[in-house]
Amino acid sequence: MAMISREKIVEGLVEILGTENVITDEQVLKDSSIDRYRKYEQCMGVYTQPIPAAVIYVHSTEEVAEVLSFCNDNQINVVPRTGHSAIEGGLETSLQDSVVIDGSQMNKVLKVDRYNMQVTCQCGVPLQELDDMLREQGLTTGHSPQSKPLAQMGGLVATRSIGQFSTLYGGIEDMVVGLEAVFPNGKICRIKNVPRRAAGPDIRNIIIGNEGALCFITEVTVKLFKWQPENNHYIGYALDDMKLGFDCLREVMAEGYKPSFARLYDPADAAGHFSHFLEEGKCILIWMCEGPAGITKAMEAGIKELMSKHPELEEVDPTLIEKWYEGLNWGPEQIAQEREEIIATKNIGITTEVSGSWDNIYEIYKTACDRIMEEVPDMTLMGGHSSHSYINGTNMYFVYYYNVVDCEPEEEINKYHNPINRIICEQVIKYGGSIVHHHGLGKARAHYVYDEYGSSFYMLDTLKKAFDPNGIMNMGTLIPLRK
Amino acid sequence: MEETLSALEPWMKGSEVLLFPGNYWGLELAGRLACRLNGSAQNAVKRLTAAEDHVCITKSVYGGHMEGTFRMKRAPYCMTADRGLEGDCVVSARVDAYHTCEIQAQSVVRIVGFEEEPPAAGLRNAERILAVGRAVKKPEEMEKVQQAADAIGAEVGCSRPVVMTALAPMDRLIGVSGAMTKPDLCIAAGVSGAPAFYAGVEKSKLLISVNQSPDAPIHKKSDYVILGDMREFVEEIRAYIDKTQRT
Amino acid sequence: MKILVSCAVLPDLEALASEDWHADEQKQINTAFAPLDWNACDESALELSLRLSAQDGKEPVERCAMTIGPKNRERFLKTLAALRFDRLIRIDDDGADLRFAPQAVAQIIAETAREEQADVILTGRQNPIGENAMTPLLVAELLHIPCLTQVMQMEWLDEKEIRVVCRVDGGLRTYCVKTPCVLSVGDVPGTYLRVPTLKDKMKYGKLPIAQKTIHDFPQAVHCLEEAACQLEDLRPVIQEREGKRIPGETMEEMVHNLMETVLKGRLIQE
Repeated sequence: MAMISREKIVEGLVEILGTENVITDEQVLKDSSIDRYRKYEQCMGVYTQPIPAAVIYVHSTEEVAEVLSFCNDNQINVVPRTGHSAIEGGLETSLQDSVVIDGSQMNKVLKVDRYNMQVTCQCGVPLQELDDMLREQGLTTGHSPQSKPLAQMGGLVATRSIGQFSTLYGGIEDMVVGLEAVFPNGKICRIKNVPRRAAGPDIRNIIIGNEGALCFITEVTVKLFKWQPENNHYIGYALDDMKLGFDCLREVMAEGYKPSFARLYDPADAAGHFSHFLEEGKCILIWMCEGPAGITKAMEAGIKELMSKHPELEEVDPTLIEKWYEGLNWGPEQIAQEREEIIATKNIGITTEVSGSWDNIYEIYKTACDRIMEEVPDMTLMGGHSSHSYINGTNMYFVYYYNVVDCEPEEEINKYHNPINRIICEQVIKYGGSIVHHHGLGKARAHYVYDEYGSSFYMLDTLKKAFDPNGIMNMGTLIPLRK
Repeated sequence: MEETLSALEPWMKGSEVLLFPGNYWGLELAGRLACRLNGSAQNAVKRLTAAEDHVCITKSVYGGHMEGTFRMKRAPYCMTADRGLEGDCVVSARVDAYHTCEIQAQSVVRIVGFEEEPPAAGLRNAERILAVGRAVKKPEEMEKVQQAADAIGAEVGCSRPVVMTALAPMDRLIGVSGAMTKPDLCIAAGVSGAPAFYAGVEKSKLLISVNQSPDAPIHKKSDYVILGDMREFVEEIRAYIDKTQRT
Repeated sequence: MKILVSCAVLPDLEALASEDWHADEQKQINTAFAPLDWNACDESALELSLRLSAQDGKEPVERCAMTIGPKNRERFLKTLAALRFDRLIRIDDDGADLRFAPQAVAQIIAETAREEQADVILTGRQNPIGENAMTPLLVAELLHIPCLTQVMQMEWLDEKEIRVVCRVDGGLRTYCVKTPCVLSVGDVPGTYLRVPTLKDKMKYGKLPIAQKTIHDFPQAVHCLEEAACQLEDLRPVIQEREGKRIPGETMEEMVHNLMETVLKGRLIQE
């Protein structure tokens, strides 16, 4: 808990940053107390989390260091933020009188290094702007999460995010080269840009995925790839059986192919995207091959040959897949319309994503869906898709909608969202998968961290104690608050 | 409506082209009269060309993405004008006859109330918007923006960085988390034009971007571009209006 | 008390990229790859019909929904079954081009209304593909009943009369109208169709859908053959913004040029 009053906190911050960078406007503070985890509450204009003492805007690594030192000395809880697109409660200000440190004004692209195929940016660079600019030069980061219209580089690294083309390009952890971050005691650490090294453990991974619980990321260097969409090939199949679908995904990976896109939708989730050509009750398998022309063509032929051994699969016209893919990204218009629909219908859709090995992912999917249908009221849709495959497993992205019935906005999370999350996590733990594939533990699933880590929790706990001894970094994230 | 239709029907027989205003009333009249007179009807006509035995009209179809040209084959050709028609209207037709019809009330539909709808307020319904972005850094600069907006009769809108630094209240936010607008005119000044913001102004009829950076994405998505500092723009446009009003 | 809602399921036109907007030789646009959804104003009509039925103390209300379209529209009708609609009808268009044929569509709706003995016929104002806004008016003409347009709200007064609030030029007018009547629904904010639960879908979703084709409506076929209007040409509307640079060395010059050429003094307050 902070050792000084709200007013003193604000005074201290103003001294470091100046009044124009310390915001205490009530509406801004309320908006900054939550993220998209409490989507329903937010639509209804309800705020249940402690309101922070201030939202501050930083402009340099040195300023971040000064601010963190000040907060560390006074035990003020700090929430690092850039794009504000988090969806697991990671940005909630769970302690009284927290301070949100917003890095979105540190938004310069510092260097596009074409020869070394890497780009360096400050934490507040929006990914959409970065990638649009790179694509004009025939390059891309290869990183394309659905949050792209909103997300910024610092947050993308802090949450160990993953993009739609990860099966080819990898997740953010595969893309990061070097980093700069500031620790609670004000120490600024820079990890240099090298392609690989074996000089001890890979300390970048203390920073990547820390979710603001260990440090504040100020600068990121990521790899660059050639942007060559003209070589894209699309493949799609309709089928009845999810188990077969997972097996097909596995076959393609095990055979050694690396499509940029590998997806399997169950009938419920598929209905929301493909009803114009997919029969009701059918699943759909989709692959996209991206890269140099020779490779994508061969990959398409190879995948099709593998799939030809399954008579149950019905080929889908690739143009339909191509057109669907073009319309895939989080259209900003859809975000706006979604809010209005939620308010009008009190029907809300949420996602929870997990990962598993090939031999348990189907059980995880099936038993979680069955239990939710059985135990949670007012469900209007329950399904999901797999969207990130590896040689040794895949993820499962549960998609669920429910009507909020006879329930105050602040109770929605307890009546529906949290029970659903709990069921999914229980099933995943039971079968040996991971409760979170890429959204981050946040605060929403932090209380499962012990089950998730098992004996290795000691390592996470020690990291936290070592780097954040005063407990000021985004408390409640990763490791739950002690009640 | 029934009363009006019954009264009008005998007068309209023998006419070839019946033009109705492009409002709700006009549409109902056009559609129903055409039916009673065994003619043809079209709504929101943009262009009309007449021939010996038919007329051709052009109108918007497919949600405004396409324009369709239709041959109307049965007189009387009843049509309403498109509301968005612009341009100078030169009325040169001769008015040959001018009738007043008496209308008998009937009881199938009764009017029991009327409420004037006040012009809808707020950004969503604004006809002119001056939208500013993160180039605005100080309250004094925001004040100048408001003054310029007042001078041109526009509402002030902002991108997210502006409201999140409390330079403007949250209800001024434009974009996916705020207002989705459809003004006749939007001037986007000091805004880079990120998708989350742009979605809130893309339905503007006329979009003008003001930004120092020639690479600002907004410049590729606007009708007219001014390369320059938005703070200077705000000063100059206000000065222009002041000067013009004085003369 | 019977309500007939005529509703359409359409491809999402906003899913088409600018290069998709070109007509083929048959003057058709390929929308096969665009996802389907309810026509927005028909969706409002459906939701309003549900709100109307929910009012207490009145006679039981029967709701019938009809749609004209191919088989893949049936999954949308199943949603209506789960929302406890009593009767569902799909009329297959058999490949007929009904885009710009409101008379033919009106014949089908009117004939169905007669058969179903509907007291209230509710429908959206227009289909965004045809943009004709004529269909509800023509249905009313065929049945010789009143039609109220731009309906925003409805409530039963008693079994033979409804109170309706409509947007008219200049404001909102409240009418009392005797049934049978046609009510045409325009833009009504906040009228998204409610979502049925999965349990309701399982319980009520199996309501059979009555199947008909356009050939069951000879008058409609006749209207198509003897159409009063014929499509001659279909062209894309170029919607690109050009990004024309306003010339000028100084901001003062640029503003001057902007006002004199583009805005033509439009901004001067009167």
